[in-house]
Amino acid sequence: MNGILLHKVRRDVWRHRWQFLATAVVVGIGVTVFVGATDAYANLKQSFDETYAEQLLPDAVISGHGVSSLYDRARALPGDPIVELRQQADVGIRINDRSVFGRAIGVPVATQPMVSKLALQSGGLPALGSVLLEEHFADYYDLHPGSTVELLGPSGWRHATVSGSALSTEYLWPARSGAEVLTSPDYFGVAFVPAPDMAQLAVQPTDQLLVYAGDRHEAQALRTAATELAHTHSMAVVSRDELPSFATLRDAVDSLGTFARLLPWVFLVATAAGTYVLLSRLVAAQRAVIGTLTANGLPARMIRTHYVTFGLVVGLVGSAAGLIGGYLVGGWYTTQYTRALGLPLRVISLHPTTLIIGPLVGMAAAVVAAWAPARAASRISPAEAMRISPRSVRGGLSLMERLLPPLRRIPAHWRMTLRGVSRNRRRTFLTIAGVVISVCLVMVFAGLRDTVNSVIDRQYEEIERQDAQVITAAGASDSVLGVLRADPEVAGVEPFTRLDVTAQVGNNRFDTLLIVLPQATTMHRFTSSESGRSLPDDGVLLGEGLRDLLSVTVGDQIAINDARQGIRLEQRVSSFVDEPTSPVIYVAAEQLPALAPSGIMLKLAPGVDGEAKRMAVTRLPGVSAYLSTESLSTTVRKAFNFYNVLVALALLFAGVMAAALLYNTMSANVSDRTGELGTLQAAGMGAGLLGRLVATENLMLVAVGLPAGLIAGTLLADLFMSSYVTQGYRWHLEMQASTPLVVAMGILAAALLAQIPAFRVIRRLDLAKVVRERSL
Amino acid sequence: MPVSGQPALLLESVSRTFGSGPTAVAALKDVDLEISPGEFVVLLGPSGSGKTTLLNLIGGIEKPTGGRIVMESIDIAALNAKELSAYRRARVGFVFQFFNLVPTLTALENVEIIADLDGGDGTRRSREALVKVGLGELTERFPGQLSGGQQQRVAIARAIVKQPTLLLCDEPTGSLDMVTGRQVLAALREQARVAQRTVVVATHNAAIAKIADRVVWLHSGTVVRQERVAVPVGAQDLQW
Repeated sequence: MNGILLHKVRRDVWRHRWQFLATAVVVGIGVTVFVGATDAYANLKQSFDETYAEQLLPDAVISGHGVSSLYDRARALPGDPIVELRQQADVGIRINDRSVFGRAIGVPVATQPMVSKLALQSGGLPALGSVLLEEHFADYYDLHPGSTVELLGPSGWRHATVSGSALSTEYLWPARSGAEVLTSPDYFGVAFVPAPDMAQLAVQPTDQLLVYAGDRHEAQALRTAATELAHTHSMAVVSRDELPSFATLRDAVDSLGTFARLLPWVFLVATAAGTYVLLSRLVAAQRAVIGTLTANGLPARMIRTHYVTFGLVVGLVGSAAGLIGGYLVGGWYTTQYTRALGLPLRVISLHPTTLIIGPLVGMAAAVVAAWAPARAASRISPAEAMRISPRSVRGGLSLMERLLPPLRRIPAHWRMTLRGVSRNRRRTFLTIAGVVISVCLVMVFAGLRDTVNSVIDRQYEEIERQDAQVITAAGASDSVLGVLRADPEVAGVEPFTRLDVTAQVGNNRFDTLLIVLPQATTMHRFTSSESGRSLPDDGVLLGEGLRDLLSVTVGDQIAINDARQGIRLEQRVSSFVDEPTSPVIYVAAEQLPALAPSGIMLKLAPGVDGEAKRMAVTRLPGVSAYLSTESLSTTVRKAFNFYNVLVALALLFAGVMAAALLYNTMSANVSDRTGELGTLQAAGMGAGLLGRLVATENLMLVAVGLPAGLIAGTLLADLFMSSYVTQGYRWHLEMQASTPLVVAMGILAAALLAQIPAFRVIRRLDLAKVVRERSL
Repeated sequence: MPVSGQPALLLESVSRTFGSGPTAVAALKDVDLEISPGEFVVLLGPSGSGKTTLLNLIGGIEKPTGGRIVMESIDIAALNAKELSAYRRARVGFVFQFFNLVPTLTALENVEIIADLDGGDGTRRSREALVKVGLGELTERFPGQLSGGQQQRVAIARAIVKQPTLLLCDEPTGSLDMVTGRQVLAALREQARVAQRTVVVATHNAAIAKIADRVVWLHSGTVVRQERVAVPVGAQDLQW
């Protein structure tokens, strides 16, 4: 392309700068989302990987009595493993008057463990008689080096000084177990205790052997070998992939990766639509110029290149902005995410692949979209282009008039509006596609937020009916139950038992919880379709996730083992319950009469101060923890608050994108018919009425795009949600009925804003000028 | 046929300058003109002589930078945008070189869209207007199905449907061949003769002047000559 044509590109772009800017904004948003999501995914993955590598997150944890005898064999496993022995016990932890369900983990005295190292956040490693607290827990209770806590051992509560706080890769997401991923510091906390002190905290702590592959290339082989070793000796084993914190965070980051892979395609289509609309209009407006240039010998190739250059310019400007925006968004997301988790290592780096692919794809989309108008420009016949009467738009009744004949009798100016929709069918289609895309984008994020909120609401308001769970020390449940029953502030109590068990069907095993409740429990609502709303007389109810994890169906036999308590049950699967938060097993207490309760479900009388009652109950002898349902629900909601920010960001992006696309369509619409509009205005039709007619025409496109977008968005949101599987549970979309309405209003508001320039253009039409120009 | 008495239109020292400072261009300079009701006036002059500007000023789609334009005791130059819009709606009909019909509306609907502005039975009046310009049989055709001359006659019907007192035509035959141009001019002539509308046609085609009651020559923004045509010829006798 020669220099003069480059000047023309520059000046044309400047002349139509707002339209070009609008298209560049769409490209920019697309590249921002791609680079942002991909970078955030890569940053987080790298941050986690480096943290896990730095702190030596175990590749496998073997648990069971006598596991120390496997030490030498473990050292001989592949991958040059580092092996660590430790003990672990569930204990009560009391901070001031507040008791929680705690976990004591033995660590070397004032020394870092060899595997699963601790990242100190304050103070130092624990000396004898002191404890190091997990950072989330210490932070929640504002505990510092020198503070004291109490731990409940066989001989009662004993004081311990806090030596400091630390992050452990096993508890970056402080899950108590794979079945209790969502917890609260009100309920669960971790304390690292010098190994010799463990004997004072538990009569029979769990022995554990941790292995970490020094040769990371052999890590998988080590996990496989460690699993085989554990099974050979009938011991429980948890590989790194199954560690609750690791699995939860991996699933969350992977879901971000899914978004990073799928969402940019949505924007690419929008980019193509915006560029196409803009350049088609430009070519139409410059038809006579193109004809003249062609007539004077300018080759078609040069004209084609010239108009493709506009696409390149749009792609270049948008991609450059998107690159910067994406880097910032990716960094921001990574920072927020890692800060929320308190991740000790945060990696925010430039990812060359993303930096190259993002802009390249953004530019490619714009150039490809520019190709069709450019090709059309190069094929314009000079004779046709120079003809006074331009190619006529085909007339005819609109679809709505055909479907609703009474519409043929509405005032002519409204008929003009109805028919204007199909005047340029390709542009109409692309604009509707843009609206659909915008709506889809918001619906996906809104669906995600709604589903999470719905699941939390369902779990803590419909399924779990108790106000609190009181965890009791061994043998203390009857006395606590008696006190609570007599309490006038307590409306109802039910004993329950919770056991950490291994469920097995054939060769499939899964570590989960067995929850034992009275058959006629009023504290838990079951969502089983087969056995109604209560526990069955015979058999067990399984969390839906176990269906896939254990490859089990209704009627199958399932083995439930608790090696520590020597419990082994063989039960029939009675039904599945739809509880996404944890795949646990429910059984009626009447089936296991010998089993002692481990706690009490509590329902408070109306109007009772929950916090005061918590304080009172935790002071009762034999109470080791008090878990308020409201507190847990609040903690879980806080953990998912981030989705609200994402939804707001998506809404902003989608709104801007919809407004930009509609602005371009509207601009093209008005440019196409300035002659007509000017003539009508010259004939006395008010600018206000003309503006309303054109705005109505544009809003009709939005009205067509909205339902389609809501349907497509719902399907897409469901697709995204169903691709998210946690602990065997395949999520499904649970959208609030009001969400589509809110989304529709948001997009409509953006569309209305985009009409303002149309009104301005029509009001400012230079009638004397436009009526002398022929319309194109 | 000119009608004596109160002028339909009175222009006093009308000027229009575009731009300011050294780049200012005076499109019209102190133009004085008086046009009688029912008169058919042709503004004749080369390109850039100020014909279109004069027409735009009379029609109220541009404002003069000096002077007065009085129509039925109203000084158009003093009207604001809203009043100008009302003035155009009530009193002026425009016909431009490019027909600027709405391509998605039929001939009838293109006329009706303006007729509806005044309320009443717009469809009937639109049909009548189309009959007057000889398109009574083609009312349901879309612009793409009409010839250039037919489209321009739809534009005339659109201009006359609201019964304006003033019909302003800017190069109405500029896009047409001679045969269709004659048909259009005949329709315009009839508006002056039969409907007693004041018709002002701006053109550079001197041949058209022969059908006028009066010819006003413009050059470089000034009226250089005015001449009454003793015996206007019929449109069918025009040659160019």
